[in-house]
Amino acid sequence: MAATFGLDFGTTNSLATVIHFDNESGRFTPRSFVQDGKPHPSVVWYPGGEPIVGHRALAQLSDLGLGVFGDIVRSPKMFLGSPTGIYVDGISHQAVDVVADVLSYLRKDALGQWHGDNSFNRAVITIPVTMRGPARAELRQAALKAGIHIHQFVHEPLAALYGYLRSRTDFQQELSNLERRLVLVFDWGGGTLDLTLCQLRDGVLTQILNVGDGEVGGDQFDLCMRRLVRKKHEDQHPNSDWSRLQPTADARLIHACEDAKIILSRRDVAPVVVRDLLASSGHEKDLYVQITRSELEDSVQDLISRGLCKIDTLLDRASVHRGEVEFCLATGGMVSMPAIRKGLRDIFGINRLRLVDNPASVISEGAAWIAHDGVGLQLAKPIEILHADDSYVEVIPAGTDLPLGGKAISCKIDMYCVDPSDGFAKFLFARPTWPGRASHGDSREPYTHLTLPVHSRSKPLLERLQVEVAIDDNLIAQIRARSLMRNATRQAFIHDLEFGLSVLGAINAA
Amino acid sequence: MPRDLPSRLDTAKDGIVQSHNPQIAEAKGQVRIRSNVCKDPNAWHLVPGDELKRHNLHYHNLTSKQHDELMYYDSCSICCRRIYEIDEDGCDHPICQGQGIPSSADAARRKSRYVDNNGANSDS
Repeated sequence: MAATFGLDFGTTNSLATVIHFDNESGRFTPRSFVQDGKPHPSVVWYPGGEPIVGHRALAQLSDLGLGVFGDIVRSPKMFLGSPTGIYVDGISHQAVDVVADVLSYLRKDALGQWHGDNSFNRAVITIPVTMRGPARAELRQAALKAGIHIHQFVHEPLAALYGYLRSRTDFQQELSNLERRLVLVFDWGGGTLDLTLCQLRDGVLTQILNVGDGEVGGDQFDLCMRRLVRKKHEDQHPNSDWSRLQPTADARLIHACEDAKIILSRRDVAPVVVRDLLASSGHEKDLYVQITRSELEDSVQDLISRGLCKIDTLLDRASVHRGEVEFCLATGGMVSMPAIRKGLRDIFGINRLRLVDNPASVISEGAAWIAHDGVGLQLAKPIEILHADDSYVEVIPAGTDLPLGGKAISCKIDMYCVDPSDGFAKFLFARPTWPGRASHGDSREPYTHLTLPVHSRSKPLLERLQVEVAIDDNLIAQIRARSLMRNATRQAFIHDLEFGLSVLGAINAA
Repeated sequence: MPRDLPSRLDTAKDGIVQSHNPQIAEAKGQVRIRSNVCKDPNAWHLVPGDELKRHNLHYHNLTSKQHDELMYYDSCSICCRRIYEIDEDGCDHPICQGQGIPSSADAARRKSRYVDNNGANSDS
């Protein structure tokens, strides 16, 4: 049977991984398809003709940030679900096509490196917790264009946690220790910060709450670093004119800044050297500055504080005290920054902070393990409708297996309006804040609401209202409500369902 | 004259009907709706009292809340005003005296005190 790959299609970097049997160790191990030890940048360059993806495209980039820069697209993922196309060098491209170029490249590269059964047709693909339904649907389309059938989506932090746990030799012991304990996954990557509070409940790794922030990614740190370098150079050479940058100087400066940022994770001082930066004849034409770790940390303090504050935001929403978290799993490239590690240590203490050894590949490996172990996604919390007496009616129960590629599940319920005099039936869809706590007095988090026109002159409780909730393979819940007398139809969507991974099968497999 | 004043009514603030449901997290500025649907086609106890009367449905065994609702929207058989107007402007009819209904002079004094304390432009 052909292997199902794990695919981490990240904002700044992407990576494919497959689980294969290693004859030397005699066990299944993940194999990630990196280039020179690094994941592939999610960058596409359209020089005319065939698009160029990955490191070669990144080398052409002369601007920081995410988006379109001339004929280069950095992080096409952020355009998914957008109604407008991407204008690259004045030519309109569909986001689906650009993403398909990245995925095709990953597929081709993996097949070139791997000599398994030479097929890469199915993948479990990871998505940020904030990715909306339309973007997921387009990602599926893009994958199909690239020849990859998406078997299942999984949230990045959940994949990271599963990858971390699965890579441990005491996997089964760890899982049994974690039963009913809370784990926070803190995934700070190049483009987004994702947090997930999870709990292992009866063999299901369940998401309690997700929080994401797309404005404090590593790209914002790069911008701060560049501003700092420029200021130091201008202090050294007050006459320097940064409007007279040499061609390609920006690209070289970006790479020098990125290198310095990595060095500063290990050392206190890092040099940033770019020769022939400015088109002038004096000493200012060359850039040579020393950046200290404290200078960098001062310049990004606001970003760090904002990111770390998300932990309390999430815990407050879940009514969880910091001390109740068993451990915090920190992953993503930004976590290697000493100031962020220190902030996390201050919050959780040294014993409850766990850092992954392979931050660049843990998400992709988690997705690959999920594919290999056949771990299915379940609905973590029931979808409920608020009743007129302030109780809740369950429409789709927690623990329902979520559909895989090409399938959908649905559930119908008949309801009645207790007061149709204003001509509208009002539905509020919600879920319990905590899985397993769905009794009347337990707190709820709203999903969405829907108002359905009804016959205003009819008697109360007479007109039948049909409500159908369907969840498709893009993990979008579509709600359709219809009033049978008035014959009106309204629909709403839920994009932020929480999921659980049923790991019992994986325990047996391990 | 209605004798039983409504004990508690749904609050309507800035045009938004607010739910009394304590389970939905409260956030400032969040728009909420109060559900008016149910699964049971015989849940008459959830139908507002005035609606039951309007349709002449099961309105002899009302819950206390339904009774309040019914009385709130019913008009006085003497002055044809609703309880809100009577409470605002008072009533001097002899039958109403001693029933906890303020006289028109008392109501005017109360209104004046309210304006003094809260400013002329406040919504009374």
